[in-house]
Amino acid sequence: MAAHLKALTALIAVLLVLPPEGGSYIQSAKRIISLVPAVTEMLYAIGAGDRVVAVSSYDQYPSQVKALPKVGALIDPNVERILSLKPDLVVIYGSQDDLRTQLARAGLGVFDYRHAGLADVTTTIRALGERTGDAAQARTLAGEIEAGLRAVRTRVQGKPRPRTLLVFGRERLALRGLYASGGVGFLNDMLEAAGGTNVFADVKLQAVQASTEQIIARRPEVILEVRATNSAFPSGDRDAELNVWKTLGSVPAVRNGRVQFVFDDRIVIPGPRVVAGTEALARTLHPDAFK
Amino acid sequence: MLRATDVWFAYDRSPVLRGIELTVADGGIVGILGPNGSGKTTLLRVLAGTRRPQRGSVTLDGTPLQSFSRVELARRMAVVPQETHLAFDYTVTEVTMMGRYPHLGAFEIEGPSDAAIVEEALASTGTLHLKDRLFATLSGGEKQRVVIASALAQTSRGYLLLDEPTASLDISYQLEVAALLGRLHAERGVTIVISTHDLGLAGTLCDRLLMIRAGEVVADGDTDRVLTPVNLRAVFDVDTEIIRRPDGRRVVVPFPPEGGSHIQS
Amino acid sequence: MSLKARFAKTVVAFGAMAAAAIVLGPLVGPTTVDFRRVFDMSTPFADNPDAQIFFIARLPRTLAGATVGALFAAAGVVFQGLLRNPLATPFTLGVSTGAALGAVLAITFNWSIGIAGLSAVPVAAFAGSLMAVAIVYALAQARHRGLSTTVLLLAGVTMNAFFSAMVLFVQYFASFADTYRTLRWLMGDLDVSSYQPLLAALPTTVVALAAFAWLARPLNLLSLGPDSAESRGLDVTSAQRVAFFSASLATGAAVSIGGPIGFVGIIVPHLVRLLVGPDHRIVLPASALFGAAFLVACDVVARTIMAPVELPVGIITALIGGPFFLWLLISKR
Repeated sequence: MAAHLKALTALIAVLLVLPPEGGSYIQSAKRIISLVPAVTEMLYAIGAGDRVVAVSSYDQYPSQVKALPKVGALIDPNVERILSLKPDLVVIYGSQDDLRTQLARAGLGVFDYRHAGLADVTTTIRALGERTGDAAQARTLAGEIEAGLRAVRTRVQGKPRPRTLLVFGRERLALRGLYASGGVGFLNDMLEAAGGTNVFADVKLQAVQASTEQIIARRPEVILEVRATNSAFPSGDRDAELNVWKTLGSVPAVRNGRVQFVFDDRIVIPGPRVVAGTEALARTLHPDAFK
Repeated sequence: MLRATDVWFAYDRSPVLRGIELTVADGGIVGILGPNGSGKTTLLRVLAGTRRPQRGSVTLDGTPLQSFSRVELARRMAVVPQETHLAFDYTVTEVTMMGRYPHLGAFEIEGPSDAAIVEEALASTGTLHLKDRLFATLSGGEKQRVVIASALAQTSRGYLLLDEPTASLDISYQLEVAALLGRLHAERGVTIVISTHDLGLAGTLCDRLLMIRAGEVVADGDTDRVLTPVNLRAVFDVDTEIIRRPDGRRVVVPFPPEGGSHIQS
Repeated sequence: MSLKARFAKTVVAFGAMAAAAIVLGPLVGPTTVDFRRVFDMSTPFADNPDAQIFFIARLPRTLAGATVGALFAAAGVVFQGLLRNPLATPFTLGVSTGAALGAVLAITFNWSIGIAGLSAVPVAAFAGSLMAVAIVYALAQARHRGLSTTVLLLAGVTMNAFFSAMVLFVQYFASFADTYRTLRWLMGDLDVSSYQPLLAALPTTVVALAAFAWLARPLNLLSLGPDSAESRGLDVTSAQRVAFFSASLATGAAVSIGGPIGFVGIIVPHLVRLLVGPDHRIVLPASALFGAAFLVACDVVARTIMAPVELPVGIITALIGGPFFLWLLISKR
């Protein structure tokens, strides 16, 4: 009788562990391709880096990705290349519907990435960890990030929050086609965590094309132009680029010389380095808090 | 006097006009008579100066056409094309007034005298009552008469060159335009050159004929002398009988050529 | 009424409309401006946000709208006269797509001219438009006799398709952000924030408008057909050349200031012809003035209707243009 019970227990245990029809109960991924640079960073940070076999054309970090094959990005994913590398998990953008359909037809696992607020960074890390089989490391990392952000918030607490214009794109040497962060999205959230107030906080969009009139009317006290690390202007151009703001002399940020360029991937990529990015922003806004 | 001397013209390789000689005296009515493809329209364009012959010359009162500026030439010669299609909704008056443009300075705007000339031209073509109508809404005959009025406004005593003026008209309008041209010639003394394949028009209206075929002159001279069954056979491949009515009008009656028609039944 | 009188009446009426738009345009906007402070000379300009909004943000923008509107509308009239087709637009012959290609390249590859305040994008757009003009003209001239408008149209439509494909090609290599910025540029943007782009476009504008003044009567004649025009004393090939180049230059200048804003070059000529008739000596100045007023008004709507978000002005002109054409089609029945 005991033998039958043992066998039954074993059978039940096996059934509980075996994947139910249609998906993994405890999932894992052995060959991962990531089209999203932020998620690539997450993969390496949760210990799945050695299982990444290809990345997007825009991936730069960590340095290991430079040697990996590139399979395109948001607009031009190279489906053939992806399939030829035989992945079992492909990280794609939530908007890439055609690609998702093709990968599903090929029977490959897909992780949808949706780009939103700062809090979604940790949510995504946790979900990613569950999917790749690194749940524990993912939870640890997420907790560290949340703690780090809390620490930054505490550092700048109680300090006056400067009204900030966070510019992430414009034409070279002119104030045209100027895009700033609106009151929604991770850039805005990082700014708020770093102790600043977004001048466009009332505009519920991730990106706002800021007209000259709006900039003058909203009177930012600080203007931060954030870009990716590798898009630094040649040094000769930097002063010229700062000078284009001079025409808006009534803007407090211009008057007080608080216009700054920040070339930092950690700020513009909503990945595991957001704490360092937020801290970098906080240092710019509240240098005295970091003495 | 308008004279073409040994005119050769080709659009590409093969000549469309071969050695044409023509003299149009002031105050005459000359018909260029020939079948389709004989070069009639091309000859008219060369006579008007809008195409330059590769060989030979055209002179107006002894001066080669090239020596005239376009505007000078336009003041002395007006062309009435077979059909006129407007791109925009101009009125009859506006279309006729365009005949006055060669008489205006670079930025000059037409004045009361131009308006008077336009009115007079419309009256003499019997279209004054249409002056505020849109040109595009007129009948075929009315359109032709308005374009003739525009030509009269352009050159009141000069040369009128008309390219197949009756070809696209209903028969009543054909007669209407023919009568108009006759009347204008008689009243105003304009010199008229018509290109046509309409035997009736050539016979009744023109006092001189240039008969051409395949770009070459077949016959040239007074209509009485030149409009003969022999020449018509040579030019048009048809047998004809020419009947002279008591009132002087010539009627040309065509028959298919002896030996059956071209079309096998 | 004599032509002189009609001309005077029309210029006065449409001129008043344009003047009103230029005066009222800077008075309206998505933010509140204290107009007493704007003209308060005691405060230095650099400390006066109301004055800065008025003189840096709104006034150049209004002038840009007026200039671009006038150029597109007048160029539309000239292209319609040249091609003898009321449906022709300043964009039919590929000029604006060439400009778009220049702009896309400048945006994607982050070109810069090295002159502070002058973005590379308008210059690249203008250069692109000149290139398009040159290519289309060369193609149309390949036939040895003068300038055939049929061949011109074919060449223009072909180059339009080609440049459009090139634009897509470049966008394929661009980052998502660059593509987004390019798309927004294609929808038009009059926020010049300085008088410099207007001054830069001034010589071309003056030359083009002078040519248009001369072209008014020739365009009337051209609408009869090239042979009829020639027999009325017009040097047709010469007039067609002047029309093609001046209208293309005007389009290139307008696109370089504000991007390829659509529908102005076809709505305005149509409306003006409905109001004043087809005589180009009246239609051209009236269209320029009405185009100025029209685009300034569209820009006012674009920047106030969803404040604080500013819509691209090309969306407003398209929203007006679409129903306008439906109405045209239906009323022609």
